[in-house]
Amino acid sequence: MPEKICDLTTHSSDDPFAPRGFPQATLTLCRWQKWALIGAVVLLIAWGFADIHRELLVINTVLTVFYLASTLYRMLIIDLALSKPRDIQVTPEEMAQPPNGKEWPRYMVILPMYHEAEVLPGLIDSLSKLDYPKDRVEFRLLIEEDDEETMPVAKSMNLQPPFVITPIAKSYPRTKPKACNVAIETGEADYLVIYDAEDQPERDQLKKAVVAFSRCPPNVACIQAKLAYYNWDWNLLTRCFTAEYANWFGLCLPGLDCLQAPIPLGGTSNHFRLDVLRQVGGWDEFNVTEDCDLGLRLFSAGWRTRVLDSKTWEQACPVLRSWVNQRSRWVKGYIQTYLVHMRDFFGLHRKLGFWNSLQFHLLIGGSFLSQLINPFYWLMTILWLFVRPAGIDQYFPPLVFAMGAFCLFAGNFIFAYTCAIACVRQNVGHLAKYGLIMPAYWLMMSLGAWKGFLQLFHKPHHWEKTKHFANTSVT
Amino acid sequence: MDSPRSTPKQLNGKVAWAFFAVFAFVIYLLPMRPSAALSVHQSIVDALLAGNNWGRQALIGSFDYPALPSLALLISTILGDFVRLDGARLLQAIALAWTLCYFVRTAYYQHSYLTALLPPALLFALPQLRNAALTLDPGWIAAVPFAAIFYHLVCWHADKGLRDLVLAGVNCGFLAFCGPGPLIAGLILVAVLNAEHRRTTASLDSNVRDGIAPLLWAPILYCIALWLLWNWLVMDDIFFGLRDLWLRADNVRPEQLQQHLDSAIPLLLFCLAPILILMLKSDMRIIARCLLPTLIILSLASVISAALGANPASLLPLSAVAALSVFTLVAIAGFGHPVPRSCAIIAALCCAFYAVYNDQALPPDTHAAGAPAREELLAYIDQFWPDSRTVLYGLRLPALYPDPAEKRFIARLDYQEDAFLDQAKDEQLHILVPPPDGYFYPLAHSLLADLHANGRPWLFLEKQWPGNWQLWRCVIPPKGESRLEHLR
Repeated sequence: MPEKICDLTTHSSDDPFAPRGFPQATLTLCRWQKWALIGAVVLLIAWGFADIHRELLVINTVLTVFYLASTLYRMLIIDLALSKPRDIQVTPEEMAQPPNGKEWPRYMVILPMYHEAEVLPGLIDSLSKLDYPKDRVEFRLLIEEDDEETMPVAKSMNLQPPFVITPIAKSYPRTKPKACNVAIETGEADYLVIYDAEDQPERDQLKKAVVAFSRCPPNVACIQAKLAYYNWDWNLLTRCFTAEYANWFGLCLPGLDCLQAPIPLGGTSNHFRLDVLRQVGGWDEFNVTEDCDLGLRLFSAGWRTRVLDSKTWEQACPVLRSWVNQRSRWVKGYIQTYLVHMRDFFGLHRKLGFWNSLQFHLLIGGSFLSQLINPFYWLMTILWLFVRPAGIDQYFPPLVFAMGAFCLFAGNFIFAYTCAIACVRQNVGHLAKYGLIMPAYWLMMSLGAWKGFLQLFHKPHHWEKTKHFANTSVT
Repeated sequence: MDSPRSTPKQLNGKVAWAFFAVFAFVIYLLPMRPSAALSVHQSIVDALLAGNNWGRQALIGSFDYPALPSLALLISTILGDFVRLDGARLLQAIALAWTLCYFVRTAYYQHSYLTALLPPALLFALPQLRNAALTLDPGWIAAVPFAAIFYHLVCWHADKGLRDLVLAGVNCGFLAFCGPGPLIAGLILVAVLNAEHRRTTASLDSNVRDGIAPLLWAPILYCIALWLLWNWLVMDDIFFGLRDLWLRADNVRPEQLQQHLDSAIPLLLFCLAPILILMLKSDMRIIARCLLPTLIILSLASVISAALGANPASLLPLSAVAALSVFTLVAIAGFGHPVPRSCAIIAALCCAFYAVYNDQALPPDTHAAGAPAREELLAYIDQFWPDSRTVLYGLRLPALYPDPAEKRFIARLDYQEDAFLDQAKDEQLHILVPPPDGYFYPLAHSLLADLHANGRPWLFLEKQWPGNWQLWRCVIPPKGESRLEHLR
């Protein structure tokens, strides 16, 4: 049994909200959040009885201001991404030799997998092609002990170093971050990267990340590579999903990088300084978007994340049901993350400062809130367009109407148009037209968001596993 | 040797100074005279601020008094109230300063620092441009996206950056809300830009080329779709905004068109000469190719709009900016040889001299001269029908008798007989019908022209002024006011 270098799995504290010393999503709401929620609901009901019209007017005004702020914020980050691109570019010349001139640093690559037998051979193949000295890298396949589908296939492949099978003992919670924490408790390495089972990173990504780290100031603890989908042409869903990812990784994250804002990490292709990762406690095993939470925790602790111009090709979920499940997990995780970080309300805002706090609310809070309320506003828009019910005007006094009209007519176009721009920028320009039909896709996002939101109440830690398909199984 | 390129921070500082200098100059020093269009846009803004339905109708239901100038004037009026400045003047100052700043940025971008002084100098040296700049017109807001297009074209030409191409497309989209001429110019610009992009990237991988066409076309097509949607929402007719121009076009006489064409062609030809040289011999041929059809379209649109008797929405400012773009392009372009450079400069100078020589002030707008004064009209009505309200149809007519509170005048964009008759059951109404001279309404197939010629069985012609203005009174008695009611 290899010796543990750190302990990222034992609960060292009796505090149910921070069993490992930092706020975790063990419980959804802390005491004051519960009371605030109950108070808000009671207040809304009472106000509704007293003056429902005024209440709706105020709610509508608040939500319209929120929409406007989100739209303007999105415009800002997109423009920054286009005008002052800050994502790290590494040239082949820089990768010709190690940055320290001697040897390449040790890299640990962790690959959590569960029921991934189908894609395992492809994964091994793509990792074998990575351009990095094989004696300086270790590929850890994190397979659940009771995964009777993947484990036999992995064993039958008779993998040799640098590939190592790391069995994950059955314990609660059965989540990907728990497996990742187990994996990094042991072993020596300078850097660590996490990939998903179906990932196909660019061959030189590890070297690029090493050079990028060497060029960054010491407070950069994480470098996020860009994710893209190789199966964009499978169906309409994968096309829209690819356009959305192109927007997020091609424009939004580089824009956030420009603003030096907290960056919610993507699920894979995060390159870390391993010592820093261990120092901040690894991933929160109770959070279903542990990547987003970790990005924020790193930022709060003073560490910074940068974006690397190197792609990892992933598989876009091609089946609507699986896609909705995946989306529901993301939204549930974003809500968890938001609530966990808001527990220390004043501390968070003091630590982040005004501008970064605002970005935290717009980015994390705004992301799930907009997905949850979008269907109501779309419904209201459709009613306004086709039925024109009397009385709807009273909830839109001139200023609110002006802001609402801007969000409806300009904001929605901006969101869709930026997806199209991102497609062109990410060299998938043939998908630009799908970027323009994103409003239909947003409705499906809302479906997933509502599923995730409702699941938060009865299955907060349930991990909606994204099913991956071998290339031929769906086409 | 080129001087080192200004860093963005330094450039932004200089541009900000330029902006405030021009802004202060326009706001406080420039003697302005209002255009005929300003009164209409101002009436729309006043009506919008008063919550009057005609304001909403007029904002989107007219193609030649487009939405962007009215909206810009609305915002500047609200802002102007805060800073105690006239809204129209504030708008003009912002638009002029912003436009000139784009030329300053263009000059700095090309390291041609002295060229930064050329547009303001020309704007006040050439009579046509000076007249345009001194005319207080909300249509100047259209100059901003047009100047932005020119700036981003120059940047794209140099760097081939996606952002510049996208912003050029987005600014073309804004032109869709600036009237028919700018809309067509925007469409042509997008088409040429798309073609130029395809041509310049023909040898590259399709991954690099794909998707640009949707990016360029999407903003302008979306803006057109929005405008049609708004027409449907407010006017219940998706093509309502087009009808007035359509009916006017039915009635244009060729000799009218010829007359306007004759006066526009020489200046256009003089302007085209430097562009042709730029197209053939300069390193800025792509931008010249984009400007050439735009310039022709703007000139033709001016001619057609004059012949139609429509408002030349934003065409004057856009033509001024197009001319400034040509001169700036001559100044910043590289020719590789002194001969074509000299030819382009001479052609530009000829153009400037012709402009000075051919200084023709715009004829004053006399269409409203024969209209009865507001007081005279009300005094006449009050003799027999005190407090009767007068219905005014269209866009230009309500602007002559602004009454956002609808105390004595009711403004309607479209003539709807049923709505009028319903209203007449509740109160005594009059209708004021302007003369059929093609200014206030189209001559043919227009309901108002028919009303002027034939009246209606339930209308009584109370008075006709010498200028052919008619005041009709509705003879349907309001409920409870008929003296014959008890006989029924």
